[in-house]
Amino acid sequence: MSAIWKPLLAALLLALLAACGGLPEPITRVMAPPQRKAIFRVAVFPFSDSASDPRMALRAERIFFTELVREKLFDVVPEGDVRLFFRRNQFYPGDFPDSREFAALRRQLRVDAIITGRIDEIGPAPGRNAGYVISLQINLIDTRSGRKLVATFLRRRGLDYQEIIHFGVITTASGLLRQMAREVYAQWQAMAFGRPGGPERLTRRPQPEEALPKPPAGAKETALRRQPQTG
Amino acid sequence: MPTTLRNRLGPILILLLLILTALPGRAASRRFALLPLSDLSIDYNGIDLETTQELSRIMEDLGFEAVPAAEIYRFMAEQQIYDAGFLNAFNARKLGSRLDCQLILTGTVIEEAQKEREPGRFGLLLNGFSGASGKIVFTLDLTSAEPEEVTFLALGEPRSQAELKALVMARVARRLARLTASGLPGREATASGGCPCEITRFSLDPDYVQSGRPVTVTVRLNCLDRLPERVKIVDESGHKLVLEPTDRPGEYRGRLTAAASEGPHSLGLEIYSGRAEPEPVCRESDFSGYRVSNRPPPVTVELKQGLPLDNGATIFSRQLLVVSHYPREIPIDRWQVEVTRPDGAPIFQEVYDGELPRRMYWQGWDNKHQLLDEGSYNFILRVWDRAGNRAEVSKKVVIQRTCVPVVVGTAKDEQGVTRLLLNAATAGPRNLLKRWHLSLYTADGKEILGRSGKKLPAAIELPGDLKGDYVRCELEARDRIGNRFVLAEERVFLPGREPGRKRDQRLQLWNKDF
Repeated sequence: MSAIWKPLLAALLLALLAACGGLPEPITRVMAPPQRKAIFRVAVFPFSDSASDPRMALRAERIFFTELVREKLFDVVPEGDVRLFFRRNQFYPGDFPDSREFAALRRQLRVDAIITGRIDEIGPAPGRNAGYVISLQINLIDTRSGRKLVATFLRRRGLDYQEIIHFGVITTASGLLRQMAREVYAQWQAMAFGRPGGPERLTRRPQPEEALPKPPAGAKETALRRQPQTG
Repeated sequence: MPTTLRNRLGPILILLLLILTALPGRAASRRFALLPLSDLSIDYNGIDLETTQELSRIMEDLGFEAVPAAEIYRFMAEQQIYDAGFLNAFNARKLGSRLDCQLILTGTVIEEAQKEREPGRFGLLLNGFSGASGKIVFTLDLTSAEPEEVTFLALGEPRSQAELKALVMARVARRLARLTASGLPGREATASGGCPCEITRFSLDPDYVQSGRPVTVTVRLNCLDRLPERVKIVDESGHKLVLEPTDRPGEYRGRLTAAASEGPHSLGLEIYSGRAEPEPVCRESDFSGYRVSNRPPPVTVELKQGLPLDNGATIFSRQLLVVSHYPREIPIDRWQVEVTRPDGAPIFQEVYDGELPRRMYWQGWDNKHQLLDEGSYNFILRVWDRAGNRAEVSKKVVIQRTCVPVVVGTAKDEQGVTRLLLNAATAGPRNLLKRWHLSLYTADGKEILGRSGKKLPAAIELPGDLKGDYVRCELEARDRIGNRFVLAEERVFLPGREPGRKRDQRLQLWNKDF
């Protein structure tokens, strides 16, 4: 191999390695006390946008809602029911519920937790077709105690997903938000809800139409034990 | 074809046609309703009817029957649904029941390029509700942009916004085909259960009340078919109260008596389809509640930016920061601030409705916005909660807007050392001195010394070789509540050199000559 090709190949290999290096994990803290509670049904609250555009907060809220339903992590209350709750209880987007409102949430929407979100930063990333840069915080809050169970902070750029040359770059804010939602829920699933033997096992309430899978003969209890629906 | 078979084909075909048309709900099982798509690419409340129609055509191409748009708009108007992009579970059920459809689609256009020059982009979110149960049965989220659709040798690359939108919509069609491959959500599986009415309003007035007081309950219902004949409120002990319909359709009202025991009391709702029905068609237990309280709200007050005195009073100069503490869950109805003289005569009074602020300032004004004289007063905060319980907190306050004056003098001790003496004046305001600073100059302006201190009295030794009859003194003192005392260019005569004394001495000398 000639002396010209060696550095070229090395540079190409380096570029490939850099592209495959992976992204930093979202910063997630699982703050739930070590008690066996279960989160079955959740409501996604309107997101707040500390930047400027209220449409972006609504867009983020709907994307996180859609992805949550798709992931089937929980039973999710439709957005219309959350809005009806807000109207019925004279509650305004951006307000944090107090103990009375948490009780009303449990009674009226029958939710075990709410998901709140805040966009800290959103804007086009520098460069042509470089997409957006978005920072956001997502929290899962227990309606029984009013305490945060899980809190995640995530900052991503469209360029973070570049594979090689311009392939893989996410150029739309919605596309990036969807990718972020998937990352957050995947991490929640791994850290808080699906970890076998962890202190806090949060599992999904089985739907009435779902048949409980029969364990094979002689098999031990699975890590994700499903509880029968109550009430 | 044999003649016998040809003769029998007609009746068989007619029979088949009859069976097909008589099959109940066959058409309905393939009906869907598509609500107008919300468009967030234009405005917060934008609607994209063009994409709505396009999506409807996609569903029709998949073999489903669309509910006419006019019927959907009529339903939205009846139900006062003014926003696009979302629906609640009950309205999804109602729409499914009224318009006889299995699937209800709501969606949002989340991305769309608005300018010709910018690269094309398009994104769509879809939520599919079961028309029978009102539950979300699937969601769909597709977004793309021209730079993301770059292909090898540019084969099939979208070149414009229209081409990109067509590409995304084709993907939507493929996803919808996959999602609905096994048909639309079944009616039989989910139709059972669920309340035929939705509570759109449930108010208790007041919801924080004293024992035995009346509480007005108002319930507004939105029902699938007809409104219920009877609606009852059920308390924790099982007592039921029948609510009467008001003039407003779907609204019921009644008045209950608050429970005797303090604390929260939950209420449930029972809905009866007929007057004679023994069992309710729907029961919502622990739906709402009220709280009983017969105690004054536990309000405490902390006075800041002042100085607590030994007698419990708080002394301040410019302003007093009043910090109130009370549990957040106590609903405050109104509150009053009153300032009185020690004999109880009111000199300042203000009443406000609503929440008590956590922090408020009082600058020592009366009702006419004039500063009060220095002296002692009573600061009283009265708070009423929504149940009518009253709490009163009284604090003694002292207004002092001046610092204690500092008296400066000189004296010579037995050893003949001259000292400058500083002391607080005995009469006047309280001595709350915090620190003082002194600069001493000769009569011709040369600096002799500078001293600082925190306490008075103080004696400062002066140099023995001072010339002239006096020294010039500049002194600044501050007290602990922010008042300031200043002596500027004060002449302090040295012992034995006071102007009067000199004259006397000269007189004595003149007498001596005689």
